[in-house]
Amino acid sequence: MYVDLDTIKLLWPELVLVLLATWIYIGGTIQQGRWWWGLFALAAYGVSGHAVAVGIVEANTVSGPLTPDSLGYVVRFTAIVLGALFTLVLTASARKELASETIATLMLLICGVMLVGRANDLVFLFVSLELVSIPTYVLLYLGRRDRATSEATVKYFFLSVLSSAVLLYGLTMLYGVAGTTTLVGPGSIQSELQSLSVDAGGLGSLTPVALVLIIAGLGFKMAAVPFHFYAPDVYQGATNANAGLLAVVPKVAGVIALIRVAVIAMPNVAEFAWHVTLVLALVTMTIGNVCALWQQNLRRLMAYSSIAHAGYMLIGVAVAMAMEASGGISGTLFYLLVYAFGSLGMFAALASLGSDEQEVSRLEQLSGLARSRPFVAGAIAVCMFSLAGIPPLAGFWGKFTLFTGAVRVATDSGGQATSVWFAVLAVGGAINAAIAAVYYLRVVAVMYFQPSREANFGTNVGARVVMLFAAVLVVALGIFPRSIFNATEHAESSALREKVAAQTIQRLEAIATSQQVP
Amino acid sequence: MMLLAAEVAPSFWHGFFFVFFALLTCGFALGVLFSNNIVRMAFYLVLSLGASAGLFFLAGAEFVGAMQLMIYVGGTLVLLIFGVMLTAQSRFISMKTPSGEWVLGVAVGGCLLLLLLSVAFQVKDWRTPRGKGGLSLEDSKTSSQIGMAFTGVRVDKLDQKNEQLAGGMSGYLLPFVIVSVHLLVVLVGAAYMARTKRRATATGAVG
Repeated sequence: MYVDLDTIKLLWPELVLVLLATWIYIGGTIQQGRWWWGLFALAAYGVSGHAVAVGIVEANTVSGPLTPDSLGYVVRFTAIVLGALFTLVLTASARKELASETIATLMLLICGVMLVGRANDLVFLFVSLELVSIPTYVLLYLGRRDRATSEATVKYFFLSVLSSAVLLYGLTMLYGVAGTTTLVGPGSIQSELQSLSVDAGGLGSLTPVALVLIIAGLGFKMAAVPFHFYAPDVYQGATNANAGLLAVVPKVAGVIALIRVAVIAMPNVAEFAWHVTLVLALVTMTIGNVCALWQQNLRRLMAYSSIAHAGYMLIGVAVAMAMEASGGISGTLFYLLVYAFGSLGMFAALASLGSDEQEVSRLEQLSGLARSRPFVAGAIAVCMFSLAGIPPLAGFWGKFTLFTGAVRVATDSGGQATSVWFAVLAVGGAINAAIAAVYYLRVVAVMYFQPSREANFGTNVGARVVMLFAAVLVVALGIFPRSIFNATEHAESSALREKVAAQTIQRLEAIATSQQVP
Repeated sequence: MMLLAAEVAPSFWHGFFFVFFALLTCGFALGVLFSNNIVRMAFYLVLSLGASAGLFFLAGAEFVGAMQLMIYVGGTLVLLIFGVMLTAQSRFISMKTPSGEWVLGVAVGGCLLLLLLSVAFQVKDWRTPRGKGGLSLEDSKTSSQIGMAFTGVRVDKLDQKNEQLAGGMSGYLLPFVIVSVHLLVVLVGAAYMARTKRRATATGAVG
């Protein structure tokens, strides 16, 4: 009934981040210096991560707007790791007098992702998503001070505000239908909608509208078609480090929010939902991959690649919508992790090559990199191969799980139409993976087979560490994918267990009331 | 919606004001759409949003109505008009929309309108006219309940005996606190924007 001590305890890791970020804001006015605050922030992520790890033990306290399932834990650990890595990149590349602000704003952004990961309430979810968006605007603006950056920031700001409004519209509809803001659990949206039919002429017929608006609003965060058009322009205008941030962090938040709301909490429109998601997935992959083919600017190329990957993730979402406990959520999560580290490695490598005078943005600037900077070229090559999905690396396992998920729905589902749709989806995904390989391999070819040119690359130590870490992680996950698979599978079953438990409680209550009446 | 208002005969004034505010809202919304002058657009928007606040009051949602007036009419639009006044140059004042954008805008907006209309007519409760006793015009005092919910107490749900259900009903204290973190970030960003302008001119003068 009240916000009690248990809730505060559950929120402890996020509270640590907010408190220490405020501390950095204030301290930054007194003590300037990059590494001072960078190391402080790393320590803060360490403390917060430790708090998350300790908190797992008391995981069965359900408290108000927070859900303690292990999907939340996977997201929070990922967010903390991403936060620490981006801190390293940004600390080394931010200007000295702005380092503390940049680091603290990033910390609040990461806190937002962690809150999205465990939100079980519409209001809470929305303000958490805004805690991802608002620091992003500030970070984009802090990145560099010129016309291109300002334009990119303003463009992102306006479109993001529009998408938030669309999402809010959808959430309002959902609240109007269900009459509660809790997502999953007894007396929640999920259990209310369970009994509402879409066609019966009741309020349930509003759910499809809510679904479309929610997918549209979150599609912007994921950079999925038709809300993808901002990505190339904005990435091009941002710095390499910030473009990496944009490519990874909002996508994590968007995918998790989509899973929490559209997949788990809206069971009565699942049929309609997977149709919409499936078409969006096909269109998003194809547009992203085809447009990426003729990009010369590296950040534009990565922007289209990030659009294409949003399409692959939507495959998993569609699978999860079409068939419960089909491994769709787990596949999406795994793919999200693999994509996040592959993309992060690429952007960190680009950031590490940039210097104060000049930053790497065009593809031909990388020519002959294998000779002048063999380590960087190697890391980029690993990330590119992983994003393309070439077998020994992590990206292969990501695509493999998603496609097998689609095939499983195609073979196991009863309906003829469903099988055809998902077969088309799996084939479309495979064709897209082939198209994608062309432009990823082109980057590798430029680095290894073209004559090297005179270039004064910078030495950004933080970004280089992150790049190597990401490359090693991508290789390691490719060889030992089982550990992460276990975590994501556990996350899926635990997220769905809440749902099943809620259904059981509701059924028992129904029986109890029916017995009381006579 | 119009049909519904016409059916509600017992309370004539309720229906009258509904039609009145609805016409104002729609009419001025069309005014925003068809005007070329940005100052006029802003003014029409004020009237349109103000009239929709009237609709909220009629529906008994006086908290939402008051918020609509305070935030949209009072805050956002004043900001918009000040922004227009500060950046007023002739080429920004009058906006000419190219025909291609008209087509696109009509297509997107039309799709949304069709979707909303079709769904609204699917709900049986909203189509069937209510009987004489169906309408209750008591005023619902929701503001204090909403205020209490922001401090973490759902006074409207205090009678919920079921522990399981009560668990999901903690109020909105946490979201309220997160909003303050938003404000912190916004303030830092705003301070930086204000600072760069001065610095840019200073370095410009030196260089």
